Amino acid sequence: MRPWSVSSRRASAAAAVLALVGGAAACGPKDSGAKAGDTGAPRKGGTLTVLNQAAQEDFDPARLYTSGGGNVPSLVFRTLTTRNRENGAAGSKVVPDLATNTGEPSVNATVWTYHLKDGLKYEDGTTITSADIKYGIERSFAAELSGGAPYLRDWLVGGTDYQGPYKDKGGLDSIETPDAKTIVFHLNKPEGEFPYLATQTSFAPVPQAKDAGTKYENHPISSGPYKVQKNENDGEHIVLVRNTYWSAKTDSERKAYPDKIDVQSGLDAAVINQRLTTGSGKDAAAVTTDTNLTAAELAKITGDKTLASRVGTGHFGYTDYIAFNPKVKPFDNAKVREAISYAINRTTVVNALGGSSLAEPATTYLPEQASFGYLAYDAFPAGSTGNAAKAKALLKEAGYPDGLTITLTHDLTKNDEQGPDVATAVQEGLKAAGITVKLDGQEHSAFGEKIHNLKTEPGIFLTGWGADWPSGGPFLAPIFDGRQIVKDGWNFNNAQLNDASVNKEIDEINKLTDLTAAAKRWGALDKKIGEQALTVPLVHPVYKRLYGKDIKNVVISDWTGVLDISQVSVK
Amino acid sequence: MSTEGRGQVWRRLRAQRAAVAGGAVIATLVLVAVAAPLFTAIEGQNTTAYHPELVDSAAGGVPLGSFGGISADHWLGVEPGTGRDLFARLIYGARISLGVAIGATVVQVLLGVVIGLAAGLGNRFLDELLSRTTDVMLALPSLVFAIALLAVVPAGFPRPVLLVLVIGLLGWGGTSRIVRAQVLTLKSLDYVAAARLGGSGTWRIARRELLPSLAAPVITYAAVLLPLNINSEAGLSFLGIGVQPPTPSWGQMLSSATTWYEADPAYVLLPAGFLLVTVVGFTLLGEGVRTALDPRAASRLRVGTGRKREEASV
Repeated sequence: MRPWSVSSRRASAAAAVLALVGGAAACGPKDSGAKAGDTGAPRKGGTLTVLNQAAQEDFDPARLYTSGGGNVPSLVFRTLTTRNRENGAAGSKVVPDLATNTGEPSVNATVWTYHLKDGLKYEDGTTITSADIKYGIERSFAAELSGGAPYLRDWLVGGTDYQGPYKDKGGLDSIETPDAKTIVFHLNKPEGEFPYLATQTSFAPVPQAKDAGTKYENHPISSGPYKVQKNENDGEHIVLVRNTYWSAKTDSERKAYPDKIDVQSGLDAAVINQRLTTGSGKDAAAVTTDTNLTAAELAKITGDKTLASRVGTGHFGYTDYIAFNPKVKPFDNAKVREAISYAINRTTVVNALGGSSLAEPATTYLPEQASFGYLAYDAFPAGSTGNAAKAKALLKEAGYPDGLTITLTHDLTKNDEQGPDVATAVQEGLKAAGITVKLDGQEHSAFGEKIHNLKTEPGIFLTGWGADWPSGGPFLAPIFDGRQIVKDGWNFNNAQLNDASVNKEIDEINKLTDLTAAAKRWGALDKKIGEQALTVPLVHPVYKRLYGKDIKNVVISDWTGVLDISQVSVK
Repeated sequence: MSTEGRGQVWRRLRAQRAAVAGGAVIATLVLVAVAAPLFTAIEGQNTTAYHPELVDSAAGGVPLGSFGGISADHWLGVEPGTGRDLFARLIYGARISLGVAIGATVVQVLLGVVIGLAAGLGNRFLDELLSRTTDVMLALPSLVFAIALLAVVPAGFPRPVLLVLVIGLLGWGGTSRIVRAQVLTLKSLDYVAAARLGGSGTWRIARRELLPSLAAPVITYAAVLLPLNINSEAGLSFLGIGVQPPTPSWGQMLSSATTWYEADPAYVLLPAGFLLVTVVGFTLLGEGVRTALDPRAASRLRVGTGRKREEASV
């Protein structure tokens, strides 16, 4: 589960990687620049430079928190399944990687069986076995290798008590390896989306003999097309070279065109975009996996056709929204929440987030990609600038004929999606409906602590959510499942919704192994919850990133929304 | 300082063109800041209204039109992204900049004079205590301290008042040290000794004999502090911990504007220009006041050569 705002700026490996997950260049029907870099067939060879802000501090598959295996990590770590490396909607499919298929579920989706492909080898030529995958997963339970996603601990039988292979030599019984090529997972509840989870780096094989504990990240044993040649300053400078034992015959996803990949981080965002703009020397064959264009940079680039053709556009499944706490007056009154939903001016909010090229107005909680189960609805039509008359009428019905004064809690961090710019845009927009908004700006970490603690949760605040894989499950369940309300600690069910019918539907959908059928039901559930006005969806952000002029074969999936460096060619 | 002395100082101040220019700039800014509601009413704009129709949303929100969207309706153009009126935001921002700087300077000077006097006139123990406290205040990394203080105070507290207090309470060290040194010198002079022999108490001596002579150095130092305080406020607001949106301030505008220097230079130049002009204006005026109060400068200025005895000690 991932509220983008909470983790993305923690600079933890997790966050960094997720942001790094993709790359950026060509998805969605609106993209016109996608073809620019595609002239001439992609060829092998050359060095690809990656210019990043955040260092790859954790390069251990157990510690990485990625969506779909990450961008740079996915070059080194192969997993049971992986994301489909294609543009747009096709890219949000899950496909086999080390395994022969995306998994064989038992009838109720509690047991998942995978078979490994033939001819899989590590960088030292030894064979990858199912026991190595089991060991890799067990490592992710060790306290000293924390940082990965929480799902395995929640889903695997016995997962909550398992302490990892260093303390608990017996291993985890719920993962069976009947032979060197078969691995079986036993889950404590039906999880039809297990194939999505199997894309995460904790599913990468780790040979037990080569495990160096916390030092393993300095030279993890590669199963992918590249191996680590150099890792300096805790991931600030990583050089990857070809893993000669990797074979394209067993890997239809990674193209691996460049001979060498040079990842330089610790750079300022403005510097990265300036270097990509200028593109001198090695920067001509450079990309970034963590730096989006800002509004001001976009304003400059829009006027320059050659530059504009080097901008990749993508959609990562993410929603920024206003959250209500219905336990706090006056938000316990559904009419007040509805009035605010009607009054919202999404045009000014979109502009506060960089304008219509960087944010799209949202009326649904689920992102607009099909894999999430997107079902178009607008429960409280506000038009593009708000419906003040309707809002006023509702406020009158709710007992506030003379308007209402509320306090909106937001993050003080500048240019943040929950920052002061968005808060003032909301404030100004609600004014027309007679709603006076006072602003309660909190320092970044204090903001997170305040909104995610039931004891301090304010009545109305800005927040956002992105999923670990492109499905409705990780979008809806953490936020609206009543059993996920955390009384003491970090709570994400902000509305504190505990509706038996919603909980039951979540359980029912999790049993489905037909992901298309599941998506449809997630969409219907989103609409049903949306009608309760527990949130006011604001925008779905759009990623725009520059890439160097020598970059070819730009692929941007709806899974990551950013350019996939495993597809890039520099020749 | 007698009436005659004041007249001389005034004449010496007026003799300096730079100081007069600085004073005129400051006077204009103060006038505009005080009359900000009137000016925005004439322009027909306010600081908070969004004008999405005046920006190119698809191009990141850059203002439509040249020079940042300057028009008859928006005299200095509009803010990128929001389309808020820049003229209104700049002159309301002047209220914050000038108000906070003047308020903080008053706090600094009052505290500095009281503590300096107490140290200079008090017994050895009090002097030691206050002098060491002053040393600590001067040594404190005040920006870091201000950031910490501003972060812990609840959001409900009025922000400009808080800024006045934080900048004021952290910046009195210099004044206090100057005042103490001055008091130690004056204390041994004949007229002060005479007052003491005449039976005047410490408080009366401080008020009647010392304060008039302290006026010149304190005013001079205050004139130096003012532009520094304007920069402090701008700096804190630039860092996002000064006044909070939607209240406009120059520092905050500069902070939002930094990324726009290429796409919309007007947005950066306006608050930067206002800040520069204000600080230069205050600095010139301050320098002029210092010169005017310095009797030794009188001959250079060729005005008001008649000197009073008490000023000789200044």
